[in-house]
Amino acid sequence: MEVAIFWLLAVIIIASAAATVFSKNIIYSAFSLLFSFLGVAGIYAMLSADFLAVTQIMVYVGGILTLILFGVMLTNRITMMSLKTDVFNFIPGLTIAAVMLAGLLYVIWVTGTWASDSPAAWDTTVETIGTLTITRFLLPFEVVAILLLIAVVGASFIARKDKQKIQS
Amino acid sequence: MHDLVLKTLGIGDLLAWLGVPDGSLVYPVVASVFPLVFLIIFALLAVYAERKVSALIQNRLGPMETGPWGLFQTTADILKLIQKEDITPKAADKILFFVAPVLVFTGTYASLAAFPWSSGFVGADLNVGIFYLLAISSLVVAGLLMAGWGSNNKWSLYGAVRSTAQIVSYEIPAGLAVLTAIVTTGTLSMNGIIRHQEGMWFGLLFQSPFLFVAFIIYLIASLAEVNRTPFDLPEAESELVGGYHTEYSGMKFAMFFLAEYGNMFIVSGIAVAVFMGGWLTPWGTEPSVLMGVVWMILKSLFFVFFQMWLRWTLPRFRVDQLMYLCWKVLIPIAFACLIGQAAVEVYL
Amino acid sequence: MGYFKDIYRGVSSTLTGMTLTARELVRPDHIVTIQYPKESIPVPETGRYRLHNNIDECIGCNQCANACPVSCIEIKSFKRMDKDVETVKETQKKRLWVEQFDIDMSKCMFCGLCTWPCPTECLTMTSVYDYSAYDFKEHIFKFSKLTPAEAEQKKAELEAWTAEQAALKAAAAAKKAAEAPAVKPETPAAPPAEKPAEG
Repeated sequence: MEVAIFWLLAVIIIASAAATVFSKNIIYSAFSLLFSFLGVAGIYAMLSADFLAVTQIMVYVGGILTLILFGVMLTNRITMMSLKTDVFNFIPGLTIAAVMLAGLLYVIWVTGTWASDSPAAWDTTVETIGTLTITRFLLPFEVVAILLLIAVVGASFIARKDKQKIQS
Repeated sequence: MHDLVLKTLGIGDLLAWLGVPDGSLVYPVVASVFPLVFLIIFALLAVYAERKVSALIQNRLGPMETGPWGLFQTTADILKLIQKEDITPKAADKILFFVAPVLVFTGTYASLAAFPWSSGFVGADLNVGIFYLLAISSLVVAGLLMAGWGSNNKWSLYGAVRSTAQIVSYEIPAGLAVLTAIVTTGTLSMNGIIRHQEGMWFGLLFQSPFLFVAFIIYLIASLAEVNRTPFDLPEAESELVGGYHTEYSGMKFAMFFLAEYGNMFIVSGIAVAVFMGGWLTPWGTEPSVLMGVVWMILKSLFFVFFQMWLRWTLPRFRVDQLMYLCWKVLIPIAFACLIGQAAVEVYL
Repeated sequence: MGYFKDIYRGVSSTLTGMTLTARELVRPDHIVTIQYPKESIPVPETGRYRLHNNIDECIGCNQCANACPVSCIEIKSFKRMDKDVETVKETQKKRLWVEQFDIDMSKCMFCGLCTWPCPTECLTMTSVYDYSAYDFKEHIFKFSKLTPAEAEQKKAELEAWTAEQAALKAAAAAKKAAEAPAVKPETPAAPPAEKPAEG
């Protein structure tokens, strides 16, 4: 049964990811991304990474996808346009993809050990993640937080109306 | 594998209590079908209750003709909806128009997977239960956007965009309010949170002023998350016809309706589980499994009633007032509560 | 401090509103709904609603039809034989058979002007107001008691009787003429000669 679910999720992820890339309608692309994210969350859940799975849904489906959709819907020119999905920059693209793949494979190869059993099911990961975040990975965590804060400040600065305009 | 399923569907105790043999297929089936049946019956009664409450508040009588005191009015309405022609507008995006109600309902139904009905009766007692419940509602957001865009209608799109902006904003104070409680309970599991409240009158609610304020904030934010008055801008009848479900008719409309009322119950259930002791008795003892279900539903129904009561009291917010309330009032206060409660936990 | 004042006002006004609605919620005596077909507001005694004609007292004088500003009353009548003349309300004589007394309530404007001239006060406005129908024709109320067959019969009788009376009159006249032939011999001859010329 677990295998069946895995293959189901895999098909969902790959099909919707393909739809995202190849669809000529940008709205369809955005919405198929949703199913892709959900499928990945499902895979995380199967790997006992429950916190990660829920975070995936919360952040990607609830936050990022919604932002993308907002962006698409509020820009009326984009939606009317049918996208060109022809191949541009074939050789550079292929090169980058090949290098990325090679890098990933190398890291996987070096890291070595694949867990052959499913990890101890349903052990809570929340506490471990919490502890590690504020101990070993405190610096990256804070850096990311500051980065996000800067992004927020920058966004509000751009979105803000000109002060002189308001006064006049 | 089978063990895993049974363990996940922590419903086992209830059925064992009822005398169903171990390992029978009844367990998963009941675990998945019960919420659906409950949702449908609840929606039927809630629509009726909504009409009655609104009528009584406005000194009217409400439905009186179908059945005694009009009890079968919603049943008749549903029968009508089933018979209706399923219209897809010519200009609509057929695929999105079809998928949207399914997605919205999926979000609602999926929330019930981690809903703590009773001590031994939780679809899946996840370690991240409350986090899951808060996160899965984003499926509803995506569904609403899909409905608004797919209908190809300006009212629908306005409704969907408003609804999304509202839900995404109010998720923050809701999350912070829940977090205030979690600082105390120290667990994200629904049953863990509820068990922590054993021995407390009315759960965490009256344990500290911060928790009480957090509860009020969650209540307000949850109203906004299910698009209820005074936060019903997305489906404001007087300006947007019907918001995102303007173009829907028949069964698809019924699905939106079912999801809406289901969400009302779920946010009430979360409020009850986190702040009011869930399936515990109000005086904080652990009831039997079946009585736990009763307590849980009773407490949740009180907050469903509260939502109706508020709906027929307050008028609708303006968009800027909505955002002002969220970003300038609820979020700062929620942060203050979180920090205050954390201080209480550390120093007391 | 406007910020906290606003919050306070928001909370307190919400609470005020909710107490108010809660109070109304539990007050069944405040309900204003009247479940119409089962209960209804009593209409005033002098209200003007559907017209009713008590045909037994109607003398067919046509005054109501003349008074009606919208011509919604239609009356057809013919003479009664002398032996059929009845007395109504002691002073009024029923000298006509009313073969048709139709009131079209879809035309009626409920002014009540028809009820004033009625000499026997048989035409009245009742308090019946709920008589909606699916067809305009159902709003034509027929009050005559005579069936068409009866009316035909009565008409035939009347004709026979009129003829009989005429014959009797003629006979009487002839008798008179026979008794006094020489009083005015040229008078009967003159009118027949003039009439064709006029027509």
